[in-house]
Amino acid sequence: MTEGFVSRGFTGRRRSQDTALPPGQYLVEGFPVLSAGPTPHTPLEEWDFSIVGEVDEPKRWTWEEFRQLPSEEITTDIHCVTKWSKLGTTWEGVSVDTLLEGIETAAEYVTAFCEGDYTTNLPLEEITGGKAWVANAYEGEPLEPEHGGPARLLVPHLYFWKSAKWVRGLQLTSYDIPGFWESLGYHNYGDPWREQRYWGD
Amino acid sequence: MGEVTGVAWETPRAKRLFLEVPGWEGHKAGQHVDLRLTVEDGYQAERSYSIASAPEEDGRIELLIERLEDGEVSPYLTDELRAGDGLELRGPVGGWFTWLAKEGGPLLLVAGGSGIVPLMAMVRHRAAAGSDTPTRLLYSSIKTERFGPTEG
Repeated sequence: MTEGFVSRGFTGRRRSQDTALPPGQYLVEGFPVLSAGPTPHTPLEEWDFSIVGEVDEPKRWTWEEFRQLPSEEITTDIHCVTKWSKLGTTWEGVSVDTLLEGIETAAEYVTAFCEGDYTTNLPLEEITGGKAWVANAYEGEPLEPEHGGPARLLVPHLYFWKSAKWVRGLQLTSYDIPGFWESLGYHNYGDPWREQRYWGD
Repeated sequence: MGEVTGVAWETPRAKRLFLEVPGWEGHKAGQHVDLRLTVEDGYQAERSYSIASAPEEDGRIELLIERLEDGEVSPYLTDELRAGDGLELRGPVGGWFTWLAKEGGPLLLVAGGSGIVPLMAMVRHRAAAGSDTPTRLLYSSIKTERFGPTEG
């Protein structure tokens, strides 16, 4: 963009807080709902979560089995590519490290797949090492369908479209396969701090 | 970098901005642009606005800005910006919520408030393309502070 351009007469509104937001983001009080398509409503008795793809043995959990897994409370900031951010959001979920425990794979990438054919792709190392969860509760309450319930992926260090709503599993792959938004012009990686919103950023 | 070539209040809360953008390569109805405003000390604010004009309108794009009373950016765009001012933007953005006349229909367009803007582009594009795709527009707006456009 143009170096040194200043918008005549614009003063802006700086926040007093110390916490910096990624470039181009602004704070919201509510929790916006954005979705390409209708909200799925999956009965819990039909829900399952699977690890498939380049693994020796696929793994699968029913809702009951999933709820038996050790879960943790997560407090984190989230950043949407449409420029809103929320600080200090609280979640409860199962670490992806827990779900991948015992799984041997040479795969370097993962495609998260969801109800309604939504997918998003990530390098495997971006969802391991304490960076990602499958979250079933938000602010102490079961995650509402419009926000991705019963469970969504939570990968807060990337733009929030990577935190796939209505997630039903992870497919481990050797090749990086651009997901839904990545195939529609959004950035393949999506780091908010480098403002990687769109392809080519 | 775009230049504001004209501004006009559409309703008490909505302002049309006409922009000339050198190098603009066209857009699809439904897409938006990201605007970026910069203060002297380097502070920046970014927001997205849907393009109201049809792709067929050559040489300039139109935005329709809803003025939010407590907004950081919209009051600047509606109250301060005037013809001759520069405006940094990138776009067009958005590969999913678009409509091309050749896709056909029938088309059901539903919007509330400023959500009408990308649909305006679609309706205008439909007219400019001479399409007879069956189209229905359902629009909801607060009665006393109408946002939406008056023309069809």
